[in-house]
Amino acid sequence: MIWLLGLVITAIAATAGLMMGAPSGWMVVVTLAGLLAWDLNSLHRRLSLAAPGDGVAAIRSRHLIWLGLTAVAGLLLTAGAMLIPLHFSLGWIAVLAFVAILGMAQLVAWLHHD
Amino acid sequence: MRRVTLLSLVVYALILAGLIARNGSVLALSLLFVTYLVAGQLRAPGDLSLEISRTLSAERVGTGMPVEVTLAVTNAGPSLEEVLIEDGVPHGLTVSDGSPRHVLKLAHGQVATWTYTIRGSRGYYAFSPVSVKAHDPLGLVSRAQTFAVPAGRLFILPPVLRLKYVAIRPRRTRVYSGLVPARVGGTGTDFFGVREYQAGDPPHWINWHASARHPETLFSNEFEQERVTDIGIVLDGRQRANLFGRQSIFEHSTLAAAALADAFLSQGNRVSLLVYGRFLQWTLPGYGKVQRERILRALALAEIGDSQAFADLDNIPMRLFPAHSQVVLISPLLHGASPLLRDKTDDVAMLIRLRARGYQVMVINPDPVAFEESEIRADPLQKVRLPDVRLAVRVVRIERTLMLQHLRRAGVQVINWDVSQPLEQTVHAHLGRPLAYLRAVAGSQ
Repeated sequence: MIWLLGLVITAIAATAGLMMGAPSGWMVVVTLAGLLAWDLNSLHRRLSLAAPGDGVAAIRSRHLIWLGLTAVAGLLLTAGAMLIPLHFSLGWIAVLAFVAILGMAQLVAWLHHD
Repeated sequence: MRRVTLLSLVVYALILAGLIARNGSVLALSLLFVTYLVAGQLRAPGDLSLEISRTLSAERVGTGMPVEVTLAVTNAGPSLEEVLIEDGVPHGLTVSDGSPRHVLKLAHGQVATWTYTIRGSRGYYAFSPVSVKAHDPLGLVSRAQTFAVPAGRLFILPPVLRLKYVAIRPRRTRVYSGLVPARVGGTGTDFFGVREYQAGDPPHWINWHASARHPETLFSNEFEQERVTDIGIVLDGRQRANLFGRQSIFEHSTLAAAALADAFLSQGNRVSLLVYGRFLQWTLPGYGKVQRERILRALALAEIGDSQAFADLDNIPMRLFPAHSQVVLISPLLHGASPLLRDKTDDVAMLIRLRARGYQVMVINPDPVAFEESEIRADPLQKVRLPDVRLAVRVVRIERTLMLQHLRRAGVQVINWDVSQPLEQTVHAHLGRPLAYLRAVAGSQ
């Protein structure tokens, strides 16, 4: 529970920081750290159910590799979005927001369905 | 809250905040979480296609004996990055070695096998299906399924104490030879009477003392035939009779039932079992090892319970037992005359009626007073009450002694068993093989 709160608080703090003009790089790193901590805590909870000799080390190493790749991809995407200035009209913003929310809804639906 | 739900809420909140504040950086921040969600979706587990088999080292064991359970899981579907497999160990069994739950990575075609050991107390245990939960590497998407696996039942039988000999004298026996005195003269080992010599009698049967008194006639000794008989064992499973506080004396009753059934069957008798509690659990009469197994399995299933219909022993269906056969009731007995009982349940009257109908009735009475007293003495919280307890025990003991005397006077054979003592000792003292001269005296009466 505390890790869940940590993730939410980190996200809120980073958002507030960005709105108040704090260095965006640090805010991204803080958010990513919160996400990684939350993820690793979840992994720890799942692996605590394992019995001795279950090959937990292999599962953990694969998880870390995949998490690392995801973090790098996320960082690159976020950094790219922050560094490349794009200007949209209000109409385009509305359309893009609508598409983003639709896309997110679809993604979440897939994940829930699985 | 599910992880996906939480993350999606964070993403929506960031998009909303970014739009309201018209801040692109906040919008961009949401990409971190979106990437994470997409990564989870990319490696989501496919359909679970597992072949699972469970093998038990034994399907029937004694109480406390270890049973090894081997689970073999074959992944016939796509590779699973992280899968939690948990065998459905029945409630009441304890895992003494190994684990029924494992977290594994299962590649396509891979077989994972593990063994764990369980123990438990008397009962019948049915294994639940094996539950499987597969995750993507990030633990975002899970797919859960249960697999019904055959070979999932275990009988833990009550311990069977070996009783050397249990002496009974029913009024009627069956035609086959056995070990129960049949109250009929013939060939046997115990002296039964004297009759006139018949051609063919062995010379050592001639009673020379009797023949000397009657010079014209020869007399031969006659011996009591020994045959098998019908024995009905009634195990009292009424909750009110067995439960004292949190402790139940029923396990002791079950132990006695198992030991007596084994002893009677070993002597060649035809034995049936009736468990009388929440409902009637009837094991048909039978002989030998098969019947022993049936009775032990019935005892494994036996449990205490209450029912309005079977609140007192009056509703025992006596037509299940042949007329004049031996009935063995194993019960702590409820006595309605006691002012301590709120209702008027009276097992004594029923037993006397049973005796009057010609049944040879034996009551094995696990002593509830001694049992409850020892439980109270063992409880440190009850120490302050010990003087009161002593007085109460005296009163109740007097009542029960009177009740048992009443039964004995009516011709019911009562064996009061203090369960802190070994059953063999009590049975041997009351039902062991009597000395030859005592049998001769009893036979002539």
